[in-house]
Amino acid sequence: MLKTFNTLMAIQTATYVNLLLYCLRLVPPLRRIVRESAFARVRLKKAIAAVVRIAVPVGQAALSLAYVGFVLHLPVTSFGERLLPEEQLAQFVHALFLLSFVVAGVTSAAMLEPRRGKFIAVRLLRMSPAEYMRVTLTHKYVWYFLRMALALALFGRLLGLEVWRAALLAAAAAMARVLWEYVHLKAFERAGFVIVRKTGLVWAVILAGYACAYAPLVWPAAPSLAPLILHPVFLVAVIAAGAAAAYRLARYGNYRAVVEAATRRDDPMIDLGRAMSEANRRSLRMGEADYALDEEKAERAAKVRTSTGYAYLTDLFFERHRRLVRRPVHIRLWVIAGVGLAGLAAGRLFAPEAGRYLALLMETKLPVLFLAMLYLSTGEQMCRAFFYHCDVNLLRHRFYRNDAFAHFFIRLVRLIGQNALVAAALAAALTVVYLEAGGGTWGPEIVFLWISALALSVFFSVHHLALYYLLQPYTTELNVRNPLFFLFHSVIGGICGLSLFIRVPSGAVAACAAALAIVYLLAALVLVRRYGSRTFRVK
Amino acid sequence: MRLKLEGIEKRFDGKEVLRGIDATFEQGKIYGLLGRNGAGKTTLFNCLSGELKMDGGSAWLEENGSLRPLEEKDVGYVYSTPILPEFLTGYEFLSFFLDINRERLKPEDVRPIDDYFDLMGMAKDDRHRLIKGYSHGMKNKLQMLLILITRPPVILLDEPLTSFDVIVALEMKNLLKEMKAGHILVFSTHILQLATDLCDEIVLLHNGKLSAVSGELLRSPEFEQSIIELLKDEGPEVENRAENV
Repeated sequence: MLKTFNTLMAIQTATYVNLLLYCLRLVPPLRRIVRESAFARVRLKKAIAAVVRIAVPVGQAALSLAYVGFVLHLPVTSFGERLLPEEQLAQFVHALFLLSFVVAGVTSAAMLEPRRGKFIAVRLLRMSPAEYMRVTLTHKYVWYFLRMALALALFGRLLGLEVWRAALLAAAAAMARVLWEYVHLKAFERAGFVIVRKTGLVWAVILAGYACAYAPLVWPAAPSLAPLILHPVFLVAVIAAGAAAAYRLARYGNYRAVVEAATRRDDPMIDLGRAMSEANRRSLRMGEADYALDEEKAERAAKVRTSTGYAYLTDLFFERHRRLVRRPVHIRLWVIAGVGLAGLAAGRLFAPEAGRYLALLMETKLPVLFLAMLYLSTGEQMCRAFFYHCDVNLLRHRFYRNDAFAHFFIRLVRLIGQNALVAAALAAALTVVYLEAGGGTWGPEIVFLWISALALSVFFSVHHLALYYLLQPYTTELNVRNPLFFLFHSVIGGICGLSLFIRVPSGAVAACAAALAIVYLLAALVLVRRYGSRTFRVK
Repeated sequence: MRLKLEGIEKRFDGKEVLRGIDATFEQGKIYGLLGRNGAGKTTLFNCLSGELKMDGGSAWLEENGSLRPLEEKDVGYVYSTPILPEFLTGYEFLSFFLDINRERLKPEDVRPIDDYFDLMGMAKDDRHRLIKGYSHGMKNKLQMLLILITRPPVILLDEPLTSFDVIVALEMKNLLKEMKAGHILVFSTHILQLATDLCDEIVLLHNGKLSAVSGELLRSPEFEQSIIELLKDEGPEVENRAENV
């Protein structure tokens, strides 16, 4: 078993080392230092492997800390700041149970998960499936227990949770996950049912799980499971059930069928890069009917001939890709309408609490618009459509690259218009819900809401389009291959995520959003004018 | 008009692909650039067209006795696989292309769009079809039209006739012959038959160096065999032998 474990670790480490060298070579200044010959330098790779062996578990432990800190502790202390410490602890444990004991058990089981590592070990290296599964499961859950024990002890202590109880909770969480592995196995064995492949079911569990986990924070009448979960008898029962499942898993004799079902050669999940590339292509695919030039379309195309040059090209692009361009906007408008209607209904149903919450939102929680507009902006879909249906071809021509600023500006205006429509719909929906269901009155908060939403629509239009022009991350296979692009997006996404927990007067939010939009817009115009012709090209 | 290359070098990850290219190409001639797969033909073209930065050396254009550095706008690059925006019709694309080049063109050089299509022998119906539905040959004709409109002094063609049917290949050959009077034409190929049919001169790219093949050899029956022997050879002595043949 130890030998198998060491082999698996060696494969994993070698993969990480090669991946690290590959990623380093994607960064232009490092490309000169890390040459292609580095892949063949065994001593160098062994030295890196030693670092990787330490860095990977440290990184995983950090991720567990981040999970417990950001997903469990931060919502409880920010949304439930008025709660007593023991009430905060109860909400913390309630969310932990639903997310780590239940949701993760359904969505993150290793038993039938298609993984590249599993494919390599069992199919290519001919490792025994039973040995592979036993080693993988043992390692996964022993390590999971240690990481969770550390994270729960640290963050639990801030809420008054004793260390022994944190360790017991971590052990119960690990054993609950082992129990779920057994459930996945039995569902497959009895009915050929692979839970992790049922996307609808998995997403339903995720949405329901997160809704139930956080419900008591915004709706105090929602039941909390904390008293049950914190009871030692319950925890010991979960551990005992997990131990029984572990025993059955250790003695199970037909892992070959299980592993074969999860490592089909044509399974796109085995090659995630290909899967993502194909998904991206599917999302941008145009049907034959879209491109058919009937009389009506010819007439519409003739109408756009009033423009010239890049404006003409852009008009034709939007005209020929109407369905592709409008679909993301329509989806967002429908979602906003649905959420608005649900907000109206919820406002009536939970009258006093909902009113207070809406007033809080309008007065001091408007920063959430940063996160909302990040996801509602159509910039990313539009950039991919521009690339896949237009730029991938035209960027081969020098004139097109040299005129990057000309088409950037025209597209930016169109994109801002599109995102402003979505922002206006969001602001309108929030205004109606606030006035009709929240009992609010006309006042400066509504003006600030509209200014913030519209300014953020400009901000995110600039963000997506400028990064596309300055870092052009897409390959011809539609994969993203620019670490700086990832970095910028992650930083902006992280800042937007933090905005959930910030309280600022809405006037300040509006001023800040407007200032950011103007600064970002000016900076983007200057940078694309100066560098666009060099940076906007096919990698 | 002459294109002069002096000591052009290009390395990828320390590997020398071009190791000091020296050559002179003259207006009115079609040059065939021969080399094995991976010899660096496309790299040389990319360096000349500004797609890639040279690691060393320079390229100059001599016009009316004065020498100036070769600029990006002086070079027209015809790709082996034409890459055009497929959501436009041929007519719309040409119309757009003329729009964005209007300021750079002399008024007397701008013709009605249909005249350009007539020049290429493209049927009226085809002009208003989406490029997406064009055959390879039609796309290539459209690509060549871009060159005819902007008239750059240096035209580089990367494997231009490799995948055409016989009719389109003949049309393109005739077009290139017509164009050579006002331009410096260099095309890369590894098809020897094509090189002997079309080219006035042949240059070999081998081991990162460029060497001229004599006119007598080009027209002799031993041409194919000699070129194969030269390209098979490894090492620096091939350069001396090529210059002497």
